[in-house]
Amino acid sequence: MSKLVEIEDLVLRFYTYEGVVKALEGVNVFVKEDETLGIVGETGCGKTMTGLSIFNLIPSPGRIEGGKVTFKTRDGDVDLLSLNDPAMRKVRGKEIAMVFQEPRSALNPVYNVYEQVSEVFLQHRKPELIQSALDQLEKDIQNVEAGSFKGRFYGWEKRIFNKMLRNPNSFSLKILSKIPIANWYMRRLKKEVRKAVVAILRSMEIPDPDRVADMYPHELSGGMQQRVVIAMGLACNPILLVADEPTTSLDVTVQARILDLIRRLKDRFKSSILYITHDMGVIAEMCDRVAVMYAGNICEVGEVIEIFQNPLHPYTKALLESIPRPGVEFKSIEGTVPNLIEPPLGCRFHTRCPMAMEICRKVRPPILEVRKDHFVACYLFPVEAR
Amino acid sequence: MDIRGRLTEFRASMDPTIKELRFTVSRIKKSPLSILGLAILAFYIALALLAPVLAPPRPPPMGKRDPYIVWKDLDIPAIERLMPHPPNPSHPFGTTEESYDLYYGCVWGTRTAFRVGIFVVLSSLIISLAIGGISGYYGGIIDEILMRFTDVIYAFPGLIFCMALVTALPSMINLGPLVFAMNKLDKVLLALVLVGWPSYSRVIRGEVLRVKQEDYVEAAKAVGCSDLRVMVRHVFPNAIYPILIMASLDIGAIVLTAAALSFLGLGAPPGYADWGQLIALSRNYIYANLADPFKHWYVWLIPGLFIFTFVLGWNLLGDAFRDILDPTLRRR
Amino acid sequence: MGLKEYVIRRAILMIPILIGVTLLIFAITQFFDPVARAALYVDITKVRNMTAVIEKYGLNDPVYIQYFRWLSEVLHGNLGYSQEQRMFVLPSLIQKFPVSAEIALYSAPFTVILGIYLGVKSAVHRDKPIDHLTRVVAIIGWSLPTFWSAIILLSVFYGGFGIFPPGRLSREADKFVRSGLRVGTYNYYTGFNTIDGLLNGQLWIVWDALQHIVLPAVNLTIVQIALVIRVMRSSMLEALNKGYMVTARAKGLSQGEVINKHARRNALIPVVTISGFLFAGMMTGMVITETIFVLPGLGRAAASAALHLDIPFVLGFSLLTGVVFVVTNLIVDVAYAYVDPRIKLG
Repeated sequence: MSKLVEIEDLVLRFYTYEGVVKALEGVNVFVKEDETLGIVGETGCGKTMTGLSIFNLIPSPGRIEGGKVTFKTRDGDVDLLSLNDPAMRKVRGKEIAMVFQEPRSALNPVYNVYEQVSEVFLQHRKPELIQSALDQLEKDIQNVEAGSFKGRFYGWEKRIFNKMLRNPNSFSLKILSKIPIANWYMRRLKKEVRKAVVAILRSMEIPDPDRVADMYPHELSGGMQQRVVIAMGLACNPILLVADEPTTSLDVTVQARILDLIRRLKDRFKSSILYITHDMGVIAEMCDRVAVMYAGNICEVGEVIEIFQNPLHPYTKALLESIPRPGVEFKSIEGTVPNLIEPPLGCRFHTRCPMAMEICRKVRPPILEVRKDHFVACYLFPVEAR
Repeated sequence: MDIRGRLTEFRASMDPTIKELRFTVSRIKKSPLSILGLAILAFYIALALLAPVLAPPRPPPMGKRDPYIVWKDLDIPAIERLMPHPPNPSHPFGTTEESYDLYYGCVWGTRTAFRVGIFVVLSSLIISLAIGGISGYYGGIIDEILMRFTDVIYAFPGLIFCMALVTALPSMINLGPLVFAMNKLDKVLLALVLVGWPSYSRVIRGEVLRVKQEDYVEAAKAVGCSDLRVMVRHVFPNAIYPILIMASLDIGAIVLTAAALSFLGLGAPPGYADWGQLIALSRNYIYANLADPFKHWYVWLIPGLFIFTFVLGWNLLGDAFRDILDPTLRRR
Repeated sequence: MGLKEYVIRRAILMIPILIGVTLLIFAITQFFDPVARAALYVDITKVRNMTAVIEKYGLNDPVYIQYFRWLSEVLHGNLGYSQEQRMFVLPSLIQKFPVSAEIALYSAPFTVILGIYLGVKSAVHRDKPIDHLTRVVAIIGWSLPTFWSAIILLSVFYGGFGIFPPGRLSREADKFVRSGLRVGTYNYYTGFNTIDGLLNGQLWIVWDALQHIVLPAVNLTIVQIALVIRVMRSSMLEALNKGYMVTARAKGLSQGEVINKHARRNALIPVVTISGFLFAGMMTGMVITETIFVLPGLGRAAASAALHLDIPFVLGFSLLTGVVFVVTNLIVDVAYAYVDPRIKLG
């Protein structure tokens, strides 16, 4: 399988009152086609920012200071960071989509579910919707007498829809759509949109999707809200879905069902998933490969089974050991996450690493393939001789 | 523990507070508008304090015993006295109709403005702290009744209710053994207080309600603090910030309303050192003359400028404090 | 609970406040002696037998009896007789109402629409020149004494340039309207000169009236707009920080769509809340503005009545504004529920 998204040497800095936060310092990671890559790490290690960089949606005062995000779209390879805003907007929501941590705040409280989900369709799928509206229109025309009022009305509609196909941004259409009675033709389009919205809601296993579509976010439970957010993400069948801790704010039983849903949806929609979480258990359940992050650096990347059985990086080992287990004494990692305004020189983990060496304090270890498909950024592991 | 140890401990515990304070001061320094506000207010405070020096009261017959009554220039012949006179060496700002000295009026008017603003806001605060605090803290039927009462007063637009009160209030209030005599200005002050407290009341009640639910209040109660202690030590200090901002903005609004009342003739009596009153004195000369509309510009422009900049200073300050104290806007 | 129940609930809550308003006004009347209070019912200049009148209206009876007497008179439309104007209060209020309302009508849309626009721009371009400029303008407007800005406007435009005269209509227009009313060629459909002129086919009257409306409306707007800008800006800043903004951008929407569709709709909610204040502010500003611009409206009449201690009119006017304000707040509450779906559906 080939690489779908490759992040190379990503540097992200936040320019705050208290100083420059070096959030990401040369992050290298890739997602392959049709796989689920997990990014795991403590709060504040930069996993969400890595996800957001793919979208080039870093909030101010943050700025991406370097690196590339190569994306293999349907039309070839492109560096997402080099795209201007109009071009990037075509990618967002369509080729890549995001699912957020808190569905309650991710959804706009003043619009109902239909209005928010339909936004995605209207933004990216308009031509297909117009086409299917036209098809429906053709069928209606066939069922009606040629010269009758309805017939002529349909003929007029057909002209408008054809114009919409040819020239979607025409000025006259924009004006026409605002005039109250003249924009009757929009009903047909809205019907198609409604069909699409209900369909995607249904595939999220939301019961009674037609009714839910007219409800407001605050009327829905956490699990349902998250399903709506996922629906917005998968609406246009993106190649990559970035899921930022989608189940963290839900309770455990709901969490299990949502995870299950995501797994099934992945198979159905054939997307790759970049799954961001701090929960190793979720990684074990959901991901094919996993990248371990600490303080803005990737420490270790590899297949999930491999990482769980043979963790190499001291941080990974510590993480796995700190999972609470019955009967085993609880082990936490000594020390605290470093201040990223004045991060430690060299390897950012060296202050807490039991096996830190002289070189660890001075030079940042590069991430190298130490075993097959198993990458580590640690001086303890020399590259295997091939 | 010895003294030195205690001192270091104290300093350490104050450290975050000092840091916050330094941050606030640096934000103030960075915002030109708040510096302007502070400068304006400093100027007016100085003006008010130095009033007797800058504009010494004249002895009778031109002045009166009360230094707040503006002196009239009786040296001007009677016929000319009715018209305002432009600025000249003996009257730096000119005179109004009936030849009151504008300069004196404006300088002493600063004191009046401060008196009016501070008195009204403080009184409104005290009343509304009591009512809003009790209402919010105890809730239930007390809350309902007090809030309905507040709503009723709140239902009247400020100036209009003030007008009604000033018209209606008698010159003497007889409360059994206590007899209050009220001159026109006192009536205005009382009316402003009666009209002003409801708006604070609402905010205070809201804040008390919010703070009441915070964990540290629960904790204090669990430890056994009395209601009063909880209210004073925990609830109020945390509820007070938005009130302070409101109060500083309100001083400006109060002065504006008082000036409007004076201008309409319902405020301070004629001849009193009040900016609005000074303008009202020469109402006939403001726009009577079409051929030369700005002939008597000094009569309304100068006192008006005083009012405007005074209110501006308070508004700038209130606005700046709101921006600075807002926690979401602090770190950027 | 649906929208209907919400409206009914708010309407019911309004009643005690309305009662309270009447109680308060009534309480104020008790400050006056019976003879003065008689003016609340009859024209006291025409009274021969004052004792009989006092007897008839029970002006020496216990307070609660008087209250119900007075209330029933009010509900029958008798708000007293104004000495100064030599007419009964209620007809006077009705006659003067269109003058004030017309100015409010032209001032309010500008205040709201321009205020919202500037508030949004200010928040979106925070700390940039446009933000600073808008805030400075807003704070200056808020600090201006209404009468002072009115004098400045009048002196500069009318005194200096000779345009936008005070008063309601120019002398010829006024003569035309009066004679037309007398003869029957001109009809007061609404009392609004701009609308009536149109309906009567006399466009020059509309033009004339508009010229007289400009300055008063501008005066009102200057002071009010600051509040709208400030509230809109702060609520917009809050909305821009919310999670759904990132969601919207991640969907591929443009900056403009995200701001206007998502943020602004949320940010408008607090602005609806302050509409009540705006209304109160307009009524207040009207008093001063009408006085300076010599407009025969409610405000000027009230100011004059207060000055001359014409109690019936002052109290009648206060009662009217109180009631109108309470009803306005009810409307604002309903609008608020309509705009924020979280309220209407519990």
